[in-house]
Amino acid sequence: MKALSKEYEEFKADAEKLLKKIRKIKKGMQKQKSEG
Amino acid sequence: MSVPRQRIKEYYERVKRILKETRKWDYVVSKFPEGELAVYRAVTIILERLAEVGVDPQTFDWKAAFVKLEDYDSIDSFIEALEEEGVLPTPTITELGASEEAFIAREASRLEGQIMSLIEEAKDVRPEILKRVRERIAEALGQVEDIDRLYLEVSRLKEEARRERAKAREYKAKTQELEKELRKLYEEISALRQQLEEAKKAQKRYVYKMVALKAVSHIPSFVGSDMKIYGPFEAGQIFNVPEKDAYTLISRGLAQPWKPTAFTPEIPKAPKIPKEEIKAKATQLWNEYINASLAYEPTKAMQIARQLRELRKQLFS
Repeated sequence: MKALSKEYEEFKADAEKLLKKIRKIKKGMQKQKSEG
Repeated sequence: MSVPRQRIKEYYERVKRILKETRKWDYVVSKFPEGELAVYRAVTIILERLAEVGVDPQTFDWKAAFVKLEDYDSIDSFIEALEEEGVLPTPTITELGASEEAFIAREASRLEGQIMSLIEEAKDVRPEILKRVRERIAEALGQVEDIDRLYLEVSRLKEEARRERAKAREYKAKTQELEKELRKLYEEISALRQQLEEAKKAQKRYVYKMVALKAVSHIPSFVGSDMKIYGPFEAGQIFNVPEKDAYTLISRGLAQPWKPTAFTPEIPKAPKIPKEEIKAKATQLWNEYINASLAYEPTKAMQIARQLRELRKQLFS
């Protein structure tokens, strides 16, 4: 169980990094759209 | 910028007349899959572009432009050629970016949703599956770094294109590239999510109830009902097997359910022969032994002696 949660935490950290980048692009595009 | 429909119709009729006069109309209509609508669309784009920069369409050389229409495979390439020749102004940045930016924002939202679901669904999967998913996520992180760089480039080009119209085309190309990369990543994450779902389903299908047993005697290795190899186990060894296999082992007397206090394995005992019976048989054998010895039959005597020793063991055990 300990191994599982450690593995999951590592996976989650990577997936959240991915999410952060995507959110940055999304926000930027929405901002540009409203400026346009 | 929108142009009144009446004006579009007026200029469309004018172009139609030009093409008919130059005997190009029938060919142009048959060349483009949209037929007459292709010409109508070209007229609309030109009128909108001219209206945007405040140029009177009367000053535009419609004939010079449209006699070359038959040379192009699509209306877009025809318009691009007019832009390159400088007879038609390039689109403004607002017009260019609006639809692409909306699409990119939408695509990023969909991707965000997929990743969030993936994080949620990965909660209760086995570590080995999770490890594989993580490897793919690491690859995706590399991809998103490229996307991020592309995004920064798009933002920079947009600023430049606001000042310099010539950058508009470059901006459009990069925006489309960003859109394409995002879609590719979305498809990959979707595929990964699907694989994870399938792995989870398979995981559920093969959950076996395990039972702890203690081996009574040596158990050679065997293939369990879950298709895994178990054993060999030595007497006294404690091990886990699927429930179905546990029943088989217990019914064959090879193992006992392992519960430290509730079950004490019993050692099987040999049936007891009454002592009188043993004594009677021993007396009989002794007489036979004497006779065999007197009759000089050593082999027979030795056999009887062996049997007598066995009886003595039974008598005093």
